[in-house]
Amino acid sequence: MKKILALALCLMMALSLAACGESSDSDLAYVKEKGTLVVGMTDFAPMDYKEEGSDEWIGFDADMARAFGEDLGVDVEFVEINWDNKAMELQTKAIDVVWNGMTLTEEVKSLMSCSEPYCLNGQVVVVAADVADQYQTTESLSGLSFAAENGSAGAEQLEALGLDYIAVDTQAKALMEVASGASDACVIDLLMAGAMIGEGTSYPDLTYTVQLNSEEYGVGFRQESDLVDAFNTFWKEAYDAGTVMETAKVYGVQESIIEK
Amino acid sequence: MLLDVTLSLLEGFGVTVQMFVLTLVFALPLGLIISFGSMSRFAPLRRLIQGFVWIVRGSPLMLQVLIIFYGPGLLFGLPLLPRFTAALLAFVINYACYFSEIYRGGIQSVPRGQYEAGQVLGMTKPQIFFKITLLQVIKRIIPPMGNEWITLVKDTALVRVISVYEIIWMGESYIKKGMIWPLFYTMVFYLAFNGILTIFFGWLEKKMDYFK
Amino acid sequence: MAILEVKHIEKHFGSTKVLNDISFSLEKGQALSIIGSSGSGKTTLLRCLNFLERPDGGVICVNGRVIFDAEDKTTQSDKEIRKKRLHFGLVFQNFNLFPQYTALENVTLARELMAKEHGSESKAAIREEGLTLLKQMGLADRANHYPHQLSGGQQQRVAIARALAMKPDILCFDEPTSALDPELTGEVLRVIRELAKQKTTMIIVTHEMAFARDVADQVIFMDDGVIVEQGDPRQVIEHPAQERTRQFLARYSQEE
Repeated sequence: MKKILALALCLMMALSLAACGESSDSDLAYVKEKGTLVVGMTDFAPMDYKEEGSDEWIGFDADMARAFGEDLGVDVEFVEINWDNKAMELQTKAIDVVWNGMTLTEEVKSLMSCSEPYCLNGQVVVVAADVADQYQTTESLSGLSFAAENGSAGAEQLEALGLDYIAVDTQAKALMEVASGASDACVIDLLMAGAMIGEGTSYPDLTYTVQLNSEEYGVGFRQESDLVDAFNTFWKEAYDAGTVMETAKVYGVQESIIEK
Repeated sequence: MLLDVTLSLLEGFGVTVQMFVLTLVFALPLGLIISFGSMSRFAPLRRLIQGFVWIVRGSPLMLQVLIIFYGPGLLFGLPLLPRFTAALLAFVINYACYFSEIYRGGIQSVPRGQYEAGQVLGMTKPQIFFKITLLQVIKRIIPPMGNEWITLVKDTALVRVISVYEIIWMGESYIKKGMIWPLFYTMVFYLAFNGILTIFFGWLEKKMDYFK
Repeated sequence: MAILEVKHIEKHFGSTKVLNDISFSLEKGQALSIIGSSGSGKTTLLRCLNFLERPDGGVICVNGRVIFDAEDKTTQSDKEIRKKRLHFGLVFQNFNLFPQYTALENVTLARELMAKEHGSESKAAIREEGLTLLKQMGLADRANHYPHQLSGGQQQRVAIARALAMKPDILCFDEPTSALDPELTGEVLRVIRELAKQKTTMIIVTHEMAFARDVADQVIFMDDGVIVEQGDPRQVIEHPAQERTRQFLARYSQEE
């Protein structure tokens, strides 16, 4: 299934590169004329999520996206997308921006134009709590069976280490793999691990051990879009005005925010 | 909690049922037209239709959904269809092709003598089709149709690749909140719906039992 | 004047000539039997008369009027043929009853459709007539049975009633008893005999030599797409003039 998707993506990209050619006018003007900024995201606490019983998207990214929309003078519409298709969604103008705790990998940077990084993150190894002490170093990981989100930063780290893994379609499913015993371990975002595993969460028997890297979150736009500059300017101003840190504190991510 | 989850899954299931019903509404008649095309005596039309049916039946439905939604934007920079509409279009085309093959099998399995008996009694072609062939075709295609309809119910789960929020999507969204059971709970909805379909087709088969 | 005149009918399937220069005529109220081995072209001839096959050459006249001429395309449009084929009725070897209709509905369906087009007859009258026909076939109590509930002999009798309902000028039978178990052929032959007595004009393709001899006013023996011998049934069957007819009859009586 994943292979088919990947193939479809490649095919579409190849065809579209051939078909493109004519460059569009200003992306910023396009969004302003339309009057709506369509934000592609997934359910990913604490960046984008809904409170129990509420239909409104909140979270650090969601709140900042709304502020950005206000700055541009347009409405903001959130669309929950299939993460695998984010590049296609952008390019076909189904959405205008990918803003969802997106790690700036080489792959992401090649598929879209990205903002300057705004948040720090890392990939961590998650294992069952009762065996955690055996897996505190990178060397001890060989021999474990892994799960990771397809095409994610975590998957990239595992590939760099030469470790095999099962690709699943969300980080949450990677956690489920470990919880159900289907895999020994998984690699997910530090931010997500902090929020979803350990005591007081749905996965009390899981914990994280080795941090494999450190990385940065950014916002993705269409290739060559002038929205990138508009975003960077907006963010600098919002940071200087203190809005960024205020919002970060609401969702407990203030320690990860990159200073401007 | 169970009630909340049930309500939210029902919302997704509404989309599933809509996709199912609308696909049938458009694909059943379209399939008949395609089946006539694939049996046409005009060879170029017949080959064209057969080639089209081969492409649609020979490639994954998921790919067709992706192509119909993203294709116009990627290839020509055109505005996209709404997500649900794009998914529906892909499903209608795909299922019309499957239905056309079922119709064709049904129509061709009616003995030639039935047409000839109608002809020598002075009936017109439409009279022969509607008064003699059709009901015999319907009787013959009920079992394969039943299979297709049940497959269709399950295939609707594919539309989530372009973010149409059907029941599996709703179920999966709970995984992110650390709840795994809602995803598996969706099975109850599928089973109930397909149970109704099974009973319906059983009843229909019985209803057609008066002739052989 | 002959009710039916067939002149120089030809029919090819690809490069094979199935009918070659077939000519004969039939008087009103007479019965004609066509005999011959399988592959001799007798069924094809019958199908040509009913326009299930289109002859490649020749002319067919009914009541002195040309209804088909291979040279004249205006006689060959679907609309024309649909009208003209009603001069003929056809009873098939395999009955070909419509399985989803009762015996009575099988008999009345085509007439009702016709009445709907022209608004000529009432449904009740057609039904009444259908019941009379079934009664005549000895099937009054089977009117509301479906074909699969009837024996082969009963089904064939319904098929005969169905053909008669259209009031054809000439009723054709294509080996009407070949698909029946031997013990069921009698009831069908009896019905056809009865029709002959009532001076129904008929063409019967059959393997039943004794029946052909007793019922027919005229017999045609066909072999290899041509008429080898035709004439009085007793003459042709008991004292054939041609060697090929003698051979066929000898082989036939051996089989029996």
